[in-house]
Amino acid sequence: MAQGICVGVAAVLVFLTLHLILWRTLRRPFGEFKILLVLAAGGAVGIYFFKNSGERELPLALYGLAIVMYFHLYVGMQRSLSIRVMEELSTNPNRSIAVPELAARYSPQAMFSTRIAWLIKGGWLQLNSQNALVCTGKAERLAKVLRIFHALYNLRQTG
Amino acid sequence: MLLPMIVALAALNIVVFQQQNTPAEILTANFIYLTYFLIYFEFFSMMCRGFSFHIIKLVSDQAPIQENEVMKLYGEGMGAAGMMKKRLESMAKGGLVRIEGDKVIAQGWKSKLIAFVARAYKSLIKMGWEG
Repeated sequence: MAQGICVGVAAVLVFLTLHLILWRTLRRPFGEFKILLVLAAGGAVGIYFFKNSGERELPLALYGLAIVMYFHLYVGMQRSLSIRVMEELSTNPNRSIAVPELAARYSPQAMFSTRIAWLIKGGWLQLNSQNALVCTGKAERLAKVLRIFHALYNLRQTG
Repeated sequence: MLLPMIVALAALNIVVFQQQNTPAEILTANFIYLTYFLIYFEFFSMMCRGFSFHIIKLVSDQAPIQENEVMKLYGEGMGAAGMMKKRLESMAKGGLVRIEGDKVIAQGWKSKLIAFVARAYKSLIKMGWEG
């Protein structure tokens, strides 16, 4: 069992080291989340070939859990507005900031425009002849799934 | 969500102990369970707070709709401005900040720790903000 844990931990350390080297050396990694996924999959494949059949489950399960936790951390650090606000507050005198100033720096309007542009580029939304937004086929299917889950979980105010 | 997770984890451990599994098998079962829990947790968070998901749902419900209308109607009418307010309120509820008039003030060791860890991590891997 100890050996299995060591292999799992070693795979996580290799993953983190490669991740650190790549992110510090590549200027702006293209499709960085995809690179992270490939690195993570590489670690799992490494464990599969390193360990004998029947001894793979524990290191693979440990590695899988660590990777999922790390992905949570990575996405949270990259996208969380709350974390960004905490950083902003910690650098300001008295650790405070006026709400209008905060709203100006992290303008929700700009966030909407950026996200809508990204959704149009990704083929989820499109502009009709009146320059209004409509969903594409795949977005309509996704919206149906969302409605089902919102009804299932009884989620009223979301977003 | 934490309570059902703990109850299910306890039930899982009762079952795997009763079946006289080895410690390695018990540990593996726990790791797999926690992995699936985290994936489910992420899925649930996206259902509750996913920004893109809710823009798509809103456009599907109201189409054709102008971009400024999407901003107004987002979050069952809370709009773009309400988004920041909601976020600050949830941070205040978590004890990270307090809101006095139009000022947001960081409070407690948790907010210091979060800011310190975030800055250190971001500078270590040279991460920008993409929220």
